[in-house]
Amino acid sequence: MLNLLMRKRNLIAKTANVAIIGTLAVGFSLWAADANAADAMVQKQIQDAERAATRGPYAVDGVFTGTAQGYGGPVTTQVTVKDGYIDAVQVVDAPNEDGPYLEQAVKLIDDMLAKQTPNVDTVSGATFSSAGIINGAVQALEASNSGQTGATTSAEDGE
Amino acid sequence: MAKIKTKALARHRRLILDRGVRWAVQIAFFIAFPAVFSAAFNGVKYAFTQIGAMQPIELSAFIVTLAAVLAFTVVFGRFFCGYACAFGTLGDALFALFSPVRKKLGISVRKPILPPKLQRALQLLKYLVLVVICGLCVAGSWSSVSGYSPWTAFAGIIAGNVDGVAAGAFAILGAIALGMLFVERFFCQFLCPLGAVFSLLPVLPLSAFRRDTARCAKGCGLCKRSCPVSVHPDPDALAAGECISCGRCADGCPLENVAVLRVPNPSASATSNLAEAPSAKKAPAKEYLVRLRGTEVPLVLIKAAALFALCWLFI
Repeated sequence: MLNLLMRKRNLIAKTANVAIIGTLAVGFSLWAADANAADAMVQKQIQDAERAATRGPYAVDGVFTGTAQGYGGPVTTQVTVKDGYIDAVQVVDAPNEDGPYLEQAVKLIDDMLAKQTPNVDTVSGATFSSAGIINGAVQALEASNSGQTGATTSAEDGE
Repeated sequence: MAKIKTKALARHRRLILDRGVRWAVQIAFFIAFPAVFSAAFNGVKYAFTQIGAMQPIELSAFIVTLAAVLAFTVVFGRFFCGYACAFGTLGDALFALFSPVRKKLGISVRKPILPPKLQRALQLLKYLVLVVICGLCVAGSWSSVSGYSPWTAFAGIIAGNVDGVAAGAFAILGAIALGMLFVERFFCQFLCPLGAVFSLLPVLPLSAFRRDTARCAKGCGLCKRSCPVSVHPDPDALAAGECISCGRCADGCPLENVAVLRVPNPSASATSNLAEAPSAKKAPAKEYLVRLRGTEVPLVLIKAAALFALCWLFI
């Protein structure tokens, strides 16, 4: 028995290693999720108060779209401007993107909302899809600033 | 003597068949899933980036891909590396295409370009690559160097969209390709950070290639010489983490002494095993009730189908 354990010590060590890393990762995630939820609540309240008071940098309110080249084809991004702030960014059409890459790339939208600019870092590992979203959003916001009225203005006209 | 000849011939035929099946599986995966390896490693980078930013690791698509590939590896060994990874297939293809030139230069399995000890040392380099990348991710500065990743250049080439890929990334990819021409599985064994993760995983004993050392010819070592990463098929050894489950050891062993599963036949006596050498005249009792070399075509196809299904579902 002891002999077998000795012989299999690499297997046992590796199994223990995986178990420990897995537990740590899950434990950390649960802890961080809790901490973040509390943070986000406070942030949201501060932001709402601020936005009610002053108007943001983008000229015209409305829903704008822009289209740019992603990994496998065009990516169409829709930006909602409210009170001059970027209120929401959505990828509305990306027929040729790889699912997981796009799913990863859309995370940069949180960054856009936080920084209130479309010019954010690309998501590493999903560089091409990121570029599609960023360039689409830039087009859409140019449409807002050039004074076109919202609704679903096609950004291709602007080029 | 005639019997030996047919045996050797059968072994040779089997080797050709196994090699053909492996190429077929590799090409199928290359076409169907050329990005799985980078998606899986993106899971690792994502996890460490989140830790660095004190954000929870969510079950994103990359994490799911990573978990699926890791779970597959625990069950079936590094079959993904040996048969499904697009970058590994690229390396194998370059190595195969360059073999006439290597022959001319006098580089062969018997006279490798790297001494075995150096090769083993270089195999540890990939852990350093893994640690550095994870460290950069935790520090949040990975995005400043990620542009130089050879995988980005590779993805750009596959997608036919190389705008915005740094020239440095192509230079590094080129350097790696150069290495691939001279050393089999150059990137996989020396540099691949995902390979480093796989090496640290426990592999269920059921899927590990193993030899019966008692039956080995003394000083043979043909299994190790057939192995692209130069390890003996000893699953309990520390170096066994390098095994990419390609099955070349099983093909390379002239005594058919490497297998993943062996159930000895209790009625076959131990002495007949030893005397099984060419001169044995009488037909001995069947030595094994069950023996799987691990490279049987159906077995490989089952593993490939399982991995294909996994990629289909989760990627």
